[in-house]
Amino acid sequence: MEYKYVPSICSYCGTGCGVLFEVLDGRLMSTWPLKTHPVNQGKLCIKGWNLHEYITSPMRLTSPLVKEDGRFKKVDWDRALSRAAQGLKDVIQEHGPDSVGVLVSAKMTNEENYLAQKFARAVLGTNNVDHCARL
Amino acid sequence: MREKVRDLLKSGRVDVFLAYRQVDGHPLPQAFTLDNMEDLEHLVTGPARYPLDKMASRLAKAKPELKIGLLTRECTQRGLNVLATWNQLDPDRIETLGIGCCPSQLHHGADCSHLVPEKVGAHKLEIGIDNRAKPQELDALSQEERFRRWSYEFSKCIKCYGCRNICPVCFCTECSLENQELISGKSLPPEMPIFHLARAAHMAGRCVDCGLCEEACPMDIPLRLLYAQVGRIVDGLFDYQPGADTTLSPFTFLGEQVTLEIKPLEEAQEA
Amino acid sequence: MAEESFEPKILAFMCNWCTYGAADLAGVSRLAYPPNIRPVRVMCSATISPHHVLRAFQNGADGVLVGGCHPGDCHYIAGNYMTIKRMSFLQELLGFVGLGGRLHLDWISSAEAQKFVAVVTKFTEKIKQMGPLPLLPENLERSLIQGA
Repeated sequence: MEYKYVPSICSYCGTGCGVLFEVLDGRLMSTWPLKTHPVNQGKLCIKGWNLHEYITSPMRLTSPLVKEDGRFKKVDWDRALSRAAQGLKDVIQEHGPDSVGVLVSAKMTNEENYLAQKFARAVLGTNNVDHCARL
Repeated sequence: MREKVRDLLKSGRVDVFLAYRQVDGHPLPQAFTLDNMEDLEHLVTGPARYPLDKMASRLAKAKPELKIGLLTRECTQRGLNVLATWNQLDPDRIETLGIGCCPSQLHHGADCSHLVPEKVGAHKLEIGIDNRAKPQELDALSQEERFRRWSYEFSKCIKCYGCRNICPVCFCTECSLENQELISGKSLPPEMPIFHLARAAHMAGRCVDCGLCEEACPMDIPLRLLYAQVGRIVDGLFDYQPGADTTLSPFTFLGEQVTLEIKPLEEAQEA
Repeated sequence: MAEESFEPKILAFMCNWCTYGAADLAGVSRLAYPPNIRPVRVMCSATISPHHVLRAFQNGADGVLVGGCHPGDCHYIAGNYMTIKRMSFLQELLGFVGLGGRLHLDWISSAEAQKFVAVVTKFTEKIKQMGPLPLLPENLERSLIQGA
């Protein structure tokens, strides 16, 4: 038997509440708030309380999907990325770079957000960058 | 404490012992077994407080053959008694090591997180309810004022279900709070006051006044006060204190006779 | 709305074997009582959980009346032992959050049409005096603003 409590950070929003996962024999049983975490001080919202549910959810995306003939198909990363690149290229060629926008997330690190805006400005050539925390 | 836990594990009286372990400055709940005896030197007893009793009962449900030991404060012990009363735990498979502290404001020796009541802001004092109040202090308020103040408190609820999730004595597989026919699931704040009163009604004869619900509440609703009143009513009507021992709650059996009187219509009149 | 014109909505849970019989007898005997009650026939007053009472208030009932058999007369021997435990608790809980006096429990046997009429009349009068339940969102908002 293996029964342990694993501290972690909630992955839902940018607040970064401390959570504790109850793991029994490698299966995630439940989520608890991390009582001593300075951010949430032992409190969680409804999403944080139910973090364990999405790990095994059948709705969860576990591989890239590409829409072919109106249906999503599981593909590998190379194929998905080249398809995305081709799609972006087509749109930019036809309508110009400002027809594309990039949305970034508060849940990404600063560095990843920086890379995303660099990608938008330097590669795509647009200033259309937005962020969920830009209120 | 460490020696006692080591003895319990080595002698085979328990297969697993639930206590806290200091990890990067955070006391986290930890299951000590024979396999991780070396962690015992990091065992701590506080100051964080997790519902170890609830964790033990969940573990017991998943692995009924286990003999579980756990660290208990007075509230945990009461919780274990209630869980045993409601057939959620086999008390013969539970070993406890008490550290005899109680999260009470009167209790000076307590070392847990509910010891120091948080300051309450002026706005909340004026239109809401002081979390530090005692139930009897609210008796002086008029019905209207009470309702206004409680409505303010209930209207803050963000329906995280944290009070239920952390509650050591909330063990139902199907919760009334999620039953769409009893309480609409669509509104936020949840339907008032039924959401909180339904939970309060369920706490009758069960709440052990551990205060974990209020600690887990992101909106500082004075839940402990509400459930303390529930306890006070149950004590007054039935002379029953949940968790004091393993006697059955008055709401679980009919009884041999009626000991209560109908409340006369006139007497209930209150402006 | 003028004070006089307030007609309370009262939900009455009635035990099939006694209080409902009393209401029936009151009707057959042509006794007059206020038309404010909405009766719900239940097989035993013990089937009424606190949820039902709370749900009634949540849906806008100004008062809830529960009628059961006298202790010892329960058709199911001791169902009303539980009724009074639950309802006494709930009355006090409602009083604590400011809804006191809006829930009433009485024992009315099927022969007590007079008592049924008296209880319904008195309870309706009382709820009339207390005024409507301040649960509807607009009322609540107003009361919150007044409190601020």
